[in-house]
Amino acid sequence: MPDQTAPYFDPNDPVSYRTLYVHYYKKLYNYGRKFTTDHVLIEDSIQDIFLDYWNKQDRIDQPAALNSFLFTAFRYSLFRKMQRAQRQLPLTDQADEPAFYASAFFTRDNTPEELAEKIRLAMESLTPRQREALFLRFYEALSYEEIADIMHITVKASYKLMARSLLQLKQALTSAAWWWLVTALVEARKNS
Amino acid sequence: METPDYKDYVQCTSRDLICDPLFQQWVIAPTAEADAFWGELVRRYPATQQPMEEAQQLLTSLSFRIDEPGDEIANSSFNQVAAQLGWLAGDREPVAAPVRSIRRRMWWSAVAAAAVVAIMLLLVNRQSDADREKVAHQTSYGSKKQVTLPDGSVVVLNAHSTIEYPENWEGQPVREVRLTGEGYFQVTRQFVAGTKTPQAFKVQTDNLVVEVLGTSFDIRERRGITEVVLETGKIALHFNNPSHQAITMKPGDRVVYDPARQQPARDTANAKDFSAWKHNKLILKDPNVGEIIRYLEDNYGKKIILEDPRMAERAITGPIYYDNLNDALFILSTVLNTQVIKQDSIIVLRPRN
Repeated sequence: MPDQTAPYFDPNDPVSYRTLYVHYYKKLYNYGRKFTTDHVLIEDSIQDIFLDYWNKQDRIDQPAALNSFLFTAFRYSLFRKMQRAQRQLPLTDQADEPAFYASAFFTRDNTPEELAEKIRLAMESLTPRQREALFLRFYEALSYEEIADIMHITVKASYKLMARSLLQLKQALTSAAWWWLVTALVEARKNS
Repeated sequence: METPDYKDYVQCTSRDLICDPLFQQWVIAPTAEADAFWGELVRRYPATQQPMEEAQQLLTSLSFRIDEPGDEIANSSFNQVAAQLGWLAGDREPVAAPVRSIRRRMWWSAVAAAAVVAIMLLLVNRQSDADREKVAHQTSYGSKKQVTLPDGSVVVLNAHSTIEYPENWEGQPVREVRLTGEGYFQVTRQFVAGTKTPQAFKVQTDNLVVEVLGTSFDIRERRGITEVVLETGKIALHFNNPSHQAITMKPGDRVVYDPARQQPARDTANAKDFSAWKHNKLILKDPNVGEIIRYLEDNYGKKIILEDPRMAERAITGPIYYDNLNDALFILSTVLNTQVIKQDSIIVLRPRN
């Protein structure tokens, strides 16, 4: 888990601006890399949203609202840039919504190997939006309300999306355990 | 946050808990309060212990690749933003800055662009005078290393491999890297500073040059034979032997080139499998025991001898997972039913009777 605490921000302290920027730069860059390896696009998106944000007179400085605002603005800006870049390539006439990479997931080192493989396969079977929701919840530790905001869906839909992703994973996990048991039994019979 | 009620959880299954926001919250960021609640629940209703353990195992099995840049990169990005907003380093308070118009921003970018061009010219001049500083990373037998290149591209070096590149690529038309051994590359798209011209990325090996424009691929050059597998994007192979034509590869293509034989051979491979060594999984394409042993020798620097040479032909399908050489040897010896005898840098696999 990353450091979840946003830095204390004091609008009257110049140092505060740098601290806030550095904190979110790392977070947003990490989030952006789950959609693209193009770091120029990610960098531009982060700079753009901060320029807009600091150019505004009536800024949101309250940490919880700010967190959600920056994630939402960044995702919107990055997706627009990615879609524009995609349209410039020959042979693509329509730009899809950027997809959250399945390779952004790891299983922990101590997960039994058969299980880890099943989880990896299950991750690939999830939709990019399901993967993104899991990332925002279990890596960024955001609330369902914030996730709904960022992903442009209702709070109810965010509950549904999360539950479906998790139950799909659980299914993969259960069948993996069952598969392991069967293999073990077959082995045991062979050896006896 | 609402106060949870124990009664709501008396009949709970692991499915319920996995989807329960409060339970999730406890797994994501436990607090003393949450510890007390879930502890008390098990004490009152012991039947909830098993579903809780199951749900916890699932939720904690989720983890993510981290791509966070360092402080230095984040700070230099802030400096660029501060410059565009007209905040000069430290001596003016950011809040004192008036709202800037778009025009002002454009003016600043023009200054920045001019500065980049000036620096570029300087670098080009400097470069012709002296060679650039080189950076080298090396892995020993049995170890791996992830290297972030100056442009943010990532290389995972497999064991017993070396990579070498200039310290700074800014203002150069090409990003050049030299590789011996095996590396997995994830290349970022870059433009030559101040222009819209893509900056090429080239990997030089003993046998060939891989030319890239933003992609991920694996190069394996062992015992004089080069294998390249492309995962995403597009790359071109230029052979150091001028009698071979360049090859343009599509995702999923594999090219094997043995200079001792005639032409490079092209077929398809599962790119994810090919680079599975990154996760300590060994997946060769339809390997036999002999190939696996050669792979282990290349990566761990030991000589492995099969007392029964016929075993080398045995095919093994599916992934072999290993954390280290001992793991891999254990798996092999189980499959082949042999003993493992270690003598310094030589390992003998002797059939059991």
